[in-house]
Amino acid sequence: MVTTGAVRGISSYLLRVETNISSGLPGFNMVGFMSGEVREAGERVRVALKNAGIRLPAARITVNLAPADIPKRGIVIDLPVAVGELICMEMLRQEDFEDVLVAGELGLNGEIRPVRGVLPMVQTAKEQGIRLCIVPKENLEEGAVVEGIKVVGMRSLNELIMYMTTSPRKRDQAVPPGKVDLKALFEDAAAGPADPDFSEVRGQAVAKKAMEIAAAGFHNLLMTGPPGTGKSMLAKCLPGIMPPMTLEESMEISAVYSVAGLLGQGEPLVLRRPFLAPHHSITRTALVGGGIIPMPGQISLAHRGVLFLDELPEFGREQLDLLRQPLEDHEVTIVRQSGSYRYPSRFILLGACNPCPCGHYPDRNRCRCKPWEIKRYLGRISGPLLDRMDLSITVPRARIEDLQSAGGKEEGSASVRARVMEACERQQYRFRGTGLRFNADMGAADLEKFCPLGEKEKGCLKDLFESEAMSVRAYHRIIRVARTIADLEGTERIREDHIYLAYTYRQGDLLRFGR
Amino acid sequence: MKNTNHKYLCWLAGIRGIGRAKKYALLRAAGETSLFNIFFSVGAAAFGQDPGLAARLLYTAPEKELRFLWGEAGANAQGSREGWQALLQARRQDPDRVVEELAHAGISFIGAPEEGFPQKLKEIPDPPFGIYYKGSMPSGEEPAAAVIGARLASGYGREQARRFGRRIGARGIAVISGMARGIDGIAQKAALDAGGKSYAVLGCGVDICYPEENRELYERLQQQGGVLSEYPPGMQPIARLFPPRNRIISGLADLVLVIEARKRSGTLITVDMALEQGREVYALPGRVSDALSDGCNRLIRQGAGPATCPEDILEYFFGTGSGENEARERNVEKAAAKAPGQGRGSVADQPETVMDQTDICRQMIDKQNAGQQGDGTPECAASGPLDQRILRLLSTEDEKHIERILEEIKEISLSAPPAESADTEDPVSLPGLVSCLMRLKIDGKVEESSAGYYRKI
Repeated sequence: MVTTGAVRGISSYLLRVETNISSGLPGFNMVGFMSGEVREAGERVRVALKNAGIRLPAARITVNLAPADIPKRGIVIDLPVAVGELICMEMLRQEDFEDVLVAGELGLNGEIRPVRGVLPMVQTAKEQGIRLCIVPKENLEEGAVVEGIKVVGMRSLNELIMYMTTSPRKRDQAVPPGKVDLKALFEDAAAGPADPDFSEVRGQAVAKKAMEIAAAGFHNLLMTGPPGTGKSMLAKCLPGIMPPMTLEESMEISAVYSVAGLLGQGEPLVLRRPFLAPHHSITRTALVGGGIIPMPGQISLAHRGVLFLDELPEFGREQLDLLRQPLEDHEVTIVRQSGSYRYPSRFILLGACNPCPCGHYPDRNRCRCKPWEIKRYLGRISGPLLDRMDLSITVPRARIEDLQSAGGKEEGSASVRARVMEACERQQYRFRGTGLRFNADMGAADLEKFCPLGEKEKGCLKDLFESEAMSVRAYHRIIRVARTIADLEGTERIREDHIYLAYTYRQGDLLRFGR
Repeated sequence: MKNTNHKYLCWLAGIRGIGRAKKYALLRAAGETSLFNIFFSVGAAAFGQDPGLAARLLYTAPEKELRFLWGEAGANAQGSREGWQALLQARRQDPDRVVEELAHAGISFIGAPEEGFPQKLKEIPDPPFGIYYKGSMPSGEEPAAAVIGARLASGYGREQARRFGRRIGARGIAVISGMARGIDGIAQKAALDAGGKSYAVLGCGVDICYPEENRELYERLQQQGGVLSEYPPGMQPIARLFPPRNRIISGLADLVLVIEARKRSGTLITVDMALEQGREVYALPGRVSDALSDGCNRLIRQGAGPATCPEDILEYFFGTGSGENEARERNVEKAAAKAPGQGRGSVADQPETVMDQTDICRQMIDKQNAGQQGDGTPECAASGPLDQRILRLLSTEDEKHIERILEEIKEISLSAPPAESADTEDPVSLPGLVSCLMRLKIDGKVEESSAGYYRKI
């Protein structure tokens, strides 16, 4: 009986692989509510064992995957089955495999290949009291990240046999367990190639401030402007001004990447905030997640990071609509017969779009778009999605003076990030004990509680509300954003000028009501 | 004018399927024929006094005679059979009913041969058969100017359309246009606001308001002027109906003023027709880099009169020296500014919004100044309280993005001489600028014309 792990979504559960050799017509039989691709393990194991120089007895071999009531799909159990058989043939000892987790795929030549989801597997194994994990060599670093449990990596069946037949005392010498220096990892990442820096973007003070607010309060942001004004470049700067990832966040996102099979060699953890910019021809499944064996979509791969949708109106209406629920719940649940798969998806949504189909509005010299054409183009971004964009700005065309000027001092990402981190700390303090993390999470009731307003401020909001025929949603949005602006300034009280600044950033309303 | 035979003209005008020229020819054929004698016991000369009689003949004559008249009216093989059928069908209508339905809808009709039809319009190369109208018809005696321009106009064009429309209307010159989106609608509305008269010629039946967004204008025009069309009620606004209506716009006017036009545009078609009709054409010059001024600048080069201020137009009508009584004008405009539909009340109290921005600026530029007043260039906004500085950086014609405003204010703060900047506020920060801008917006002094772009009002 060998323990192995399987992942569903980013959570893992343990499986028992039971092997039995009995007399009877020679044959190989696998049971345990599994689908076709899982059964293939049997054939691979047989050939791998043969090529490793081990002959299977001519007997009836039965393998059972327990528990029998969980449907097993899309999991790779080659190595555990092989080990089970070896135990039955008494080449390995059962006692050696108590409290041990085994995972890996077998190549026909006996080599052990990496599998997906090792990180969550090892995490679950630790929780369940396993003391040793045997994983493919290429997954070693990933597993070693989990502290408090011993993880060794194997390259081939023979190595495994050799390891397990060596006396326990000498094993560590033969194959040292994986060790990962987390601190050094994070430090290296910080020192590595940086994201584009704010100081590389000329001018655009209004847009940069908006990005700062987005990073601090985890607000979603929509940028509208003619092509070539630097929207993409600005977008890429965003991860650079967000606070560095904590270990906890890194583990979360690494679990997702592990399940997606994206943790490469030498990168056991995701150390930088993800920045994903899918093309607008992306399919629903690729965006949100899914497939026969549901894999995480872009929104989950962007967890704790930034999802940048350039040319927002070009994404299908359906696609954009699918984003609504994950934006609200911060996770996506995909239901299948075999169970529910949940992937986290808490990200900052950055959208960019042109102001009209030709892109040059309101420059009347270049734009010949009729009002109904503009309305139709912008109308492709659904209202409910716009509602969830707390910030919305226009990015104007650069002047020739900006491009040719000697270049004054532009603020760099580092100092902006410092302000953002302070604002994040304020939010952490504010929301301690509640389930909220950032200002963007606040709902109407939370706003009342956490954002008290003085008489003057209430008056100024009233003026704005009436003069612009604002919706209630817009009203709340302004308060939420004003809260972040105040946090960035380091003040607890929300002042009039914070409200005015927040008000400037709701140009999405104008977009929707067509100009 | 409205005698008992008028209804027959209404009936004839309303027949669809027979062209204008054919209808004229039919009337003429009927009027000249000896059948007149037989049916009405009056001479053919009576046709001259009562064109309705000829139409009545067409209605009552037996088919054989009618067929003869149809042939007399000119053989036109194409469509002739459909036209003939249409005529026969139409004879089953009751002209009284036709007139009744028109009256019920508040629509009047005047046929070209009738008395009271503007002479100017009768004399154009292809006059309409008649005009349907709601409200009133221009008499032809009063001076009238057509003000036309692009539908997708710039801030400059809109401002000038307003300015010209207002001054021309206030002086009793009827403003004629197409009630279209953009320049047309703005000029007409400005004329009405100034207490003047305005007439719109539509490319559809007068019972249809196209475009829908000018509905308020459509209603007001019926009180202070008229909504006209040569097309019968119910005719939908389709593309091919618009070019012909332009000849009526210029036909009813003494002068055509083009505010903004691209180098190839519908507006220029109207100008061609105006020239054919012998009307005077004026155009507003503009920046050579603006596509919307291309058409106008070219017209001027080809000989159209440049119009830089409403006085140029007034001069055409009233002679030189019509640079009028400024005080009287101001009163008219104050009244106009307080008229409903003008916007925030507080705006009217500011002299800047009552007198023309461009006029003030011209005066100010003439004065040698050290940046006392602004016309939108950064040099002017070096000192003073922040909201004043912002207002000086903005113009009423071009919108400026908030990034620009911030940059320009910063630039001039940096370049201002130290002595002056001691009086001003601290270096402008984004929140400070935004607060000020928003307050100006709430007070109605600036507007956000498109997302992120601001304009002085």
